[in-house]
Amino acid sequence: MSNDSMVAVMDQCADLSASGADAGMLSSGLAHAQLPPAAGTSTTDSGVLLTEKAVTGLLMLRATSNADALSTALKSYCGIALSSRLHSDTNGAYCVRWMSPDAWVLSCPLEEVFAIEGALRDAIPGHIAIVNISGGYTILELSGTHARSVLMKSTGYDVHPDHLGQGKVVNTTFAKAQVTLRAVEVDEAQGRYELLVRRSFTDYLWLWLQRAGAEYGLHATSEPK
Amino acid sequence: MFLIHCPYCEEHREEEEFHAAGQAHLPRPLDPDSMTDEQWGDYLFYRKNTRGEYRELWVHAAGCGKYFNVSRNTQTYEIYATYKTGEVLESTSQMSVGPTGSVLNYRTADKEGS
Amino acid sequence: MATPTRSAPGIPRMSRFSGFGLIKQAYRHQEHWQRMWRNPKPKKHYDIVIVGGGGHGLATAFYLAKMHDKVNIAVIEKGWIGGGNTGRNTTIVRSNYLWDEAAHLYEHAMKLWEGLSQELNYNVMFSQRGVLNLGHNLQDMRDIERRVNANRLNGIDGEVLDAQQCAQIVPIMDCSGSTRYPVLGASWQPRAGVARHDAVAWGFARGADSYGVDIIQQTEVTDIVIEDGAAVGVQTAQHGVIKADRIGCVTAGNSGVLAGYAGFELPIESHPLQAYVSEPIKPILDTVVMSNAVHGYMSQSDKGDLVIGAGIDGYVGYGQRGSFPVIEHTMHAILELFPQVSRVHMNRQWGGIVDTTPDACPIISKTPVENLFFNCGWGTGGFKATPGSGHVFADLLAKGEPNAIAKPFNYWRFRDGSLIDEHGAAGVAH
Ligand SMILES: Cc1cc2nc3c(=O)[nH]c(=O)nc-3n(C[C@H](O)[C@H](O)[C@H](O)COP(=O)(O)OP(=O)(O)OC[C@H]3O[C@@H](n4cnc5c(N)ncnc54)[C@H](O)[C@@H]3O)c2cc1C
Ligand SMILES: [Zn+2]
Repeated sequence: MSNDSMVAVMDQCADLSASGADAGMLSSGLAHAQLPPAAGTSTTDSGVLLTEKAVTGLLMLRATSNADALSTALKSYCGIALSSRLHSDTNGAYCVRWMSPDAWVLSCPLEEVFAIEGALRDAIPGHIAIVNISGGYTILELSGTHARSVLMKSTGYDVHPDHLGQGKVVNTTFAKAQVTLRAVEVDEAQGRYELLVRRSFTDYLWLWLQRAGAEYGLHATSEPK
Repeated sequence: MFLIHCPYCEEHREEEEFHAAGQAHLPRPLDPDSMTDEQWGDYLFYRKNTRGEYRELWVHAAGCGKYFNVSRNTQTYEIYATYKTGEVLESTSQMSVGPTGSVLNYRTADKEGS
Repeated sequence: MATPTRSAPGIPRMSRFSGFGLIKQAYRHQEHWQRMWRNPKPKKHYDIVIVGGGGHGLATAFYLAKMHDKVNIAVIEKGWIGGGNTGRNTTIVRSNYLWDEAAHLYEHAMKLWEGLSQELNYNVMFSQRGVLNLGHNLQDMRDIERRVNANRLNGIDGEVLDAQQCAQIVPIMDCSGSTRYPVLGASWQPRAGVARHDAVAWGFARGADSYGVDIIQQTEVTDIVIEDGAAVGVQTAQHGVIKADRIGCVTAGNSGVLAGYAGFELPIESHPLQAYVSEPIKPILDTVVMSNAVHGYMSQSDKGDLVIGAGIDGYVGYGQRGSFPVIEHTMHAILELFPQVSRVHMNRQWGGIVDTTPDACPIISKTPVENLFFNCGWGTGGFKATPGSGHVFADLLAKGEPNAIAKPFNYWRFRDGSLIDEHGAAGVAH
């Protein structure tokens, strides 16, 4: 961090290495509800798998006139540039998603989020905004041969692979809630989709997905923390 | 049900993703203190409320979060065009209407006065 | 079919409705009922022309004739009488408004409602079955208490109920506290209720006609004729110019268009507002339940249909239909309150164009154009005011000056700051 920075930056996981992830602030968005795995348990013939991803680092990046500079800086730290409209770009554990013409969400390992934030700030002297939103969102993943069917029950967005192809990301309504929907891997037969949801909506959407997926033999799990 | 083309996402999306935000192109007074009560009342409360082609502001609330302008017929509910804030739309009287009734030749220019 | 009502020279006598008349007509196979109003050819000139044949316009004509001895009057309606918001509304009648100005206006109407069927010799089916306005959080309850206290100071009946009392009045309502927006209590106005919307338009039309008022349907006003800054007549699409000494516009959602003809603007936005009725079912609800927080309200008609109302669409619209997201939103609200109606089929859905003002209060006023008067801005809740609105507007048209009840509702309040902010009491719809 440069010393003349006027921005107060808080490391949301400062105690992470000291006391382990579970003791930190960032527990699962479902922790209070103890929901998974309430639905089906068969892994063999389940048409759709619902996974709560482990808590990850998330940065909201905003820039207008300095977007190019931010993009260059991001490329040098994470190996990916700011994505173009309705797209996402992935490099290993890093993924950046287009949210709006002047906003992107970067996901990265939780341990790196503070360092990346500082590095990006240092690299760009001009007007940008970077906010650590790791504690505000949960990532759910739907995959399998019937993942798309569950999406179709839940959102008005056209999720056909021709329209929501691999790597595309859209903000839309989902079971009355608001989500960022990303097609992670898609082909004719099956798909893997990521739902970036507000933390306070996680239990609601989890319950919704369990119900919506029940007819396809949904199997629900949580990734190890 | 409207399918609204967001000029920022460049896609048609369902009405539910949007919120209507009233009449478009209302410049915020630069110096409210120097205005008469009548001018201030006009700014706060008086809207064109046109029956016919109307310019309004919508926000892609559940999408990209951006405000943009819509030219819409308030009687037939047809949307003629959507365009970004800061852009101007040619008058609809010069619009050429396509087979489904949509406007084909709308053009957006750089900056507008208001 | 006994005593004829008073009628102007040359106007056929109107027979009175009575129980005996019903029996008599039944024996005559219902084939000899008299027409309820004439279908006259418009004259070239009237003392007063009223534009808009909704409940408010017709009530205005009736009271002008009855109270002010004005009979050379025409009501000009572009469609059929009562075909606007009057025939599309969910008929809630109440007077428990917060501010003095509004409370006086709506209570004036309530008192007229209480004698209206007798006054018109026409059954408007006014049923004082009570209205509940639910509270779902502590702030709602504070607002409710404040409003009920204000009502009582104005001599208007009202009570604050807790959840248990609500459950007693409406057993089918989920007052369990386990809902997303639990019912904490309500305001309760026992004198409030519902009326038959068409009957109100027809009753006033029949009454006005019996005094000699010309009701001219299928005639659209397309311009206001102005000479030397004063309105002198209306241009119509079907009958040319009809001259008048005074003109009163009572055109609800189209008021902005009419003001435009006269060359000024109104602080009004016209929004779609929709309602629904279900298939008829056995009686389950004998009062009216409204909730601003979950955004829906319901009553049951005498036929058995559940009558359900919604919030307005957020955009300007003259299309007399509402949007799909609002349907879904409203049904969510209704099912939250009344889980047992989840299997009931909805029969019909429709919309009206409501004329909303920035302070959710009407405009009953002179205008910048001399001899031109407006009665509009009733928005989502003017049916309940129909007789009162007509009564005070008749006074304004007859005398040229507003009376004490109408005065605060003048057109100039949006420029001098004397707004009457009724949003708290009126919420969005009804
Ligand atoms: C769905 C819905 C539910 C409602 N629920 C309630 C409720 O529960 N309680 C309540 O109190 N209020 C309610 N309201 C509001 C209420 O219906 C209105 O405020 C009230 O009926 C207005 O009466 P009006 O006579 O002024 O208007 P209208 O009945 O709309 O009459 C205006 C007339 O003017 C005519 N007109 C328009 N332009 C012209 C022209 N150029 N030339 C000639 N004629 C013209 C129209 O055709 C129309 O017939 C509701 C409204 C709607 C739409
Ligand atoms: Zn958008």
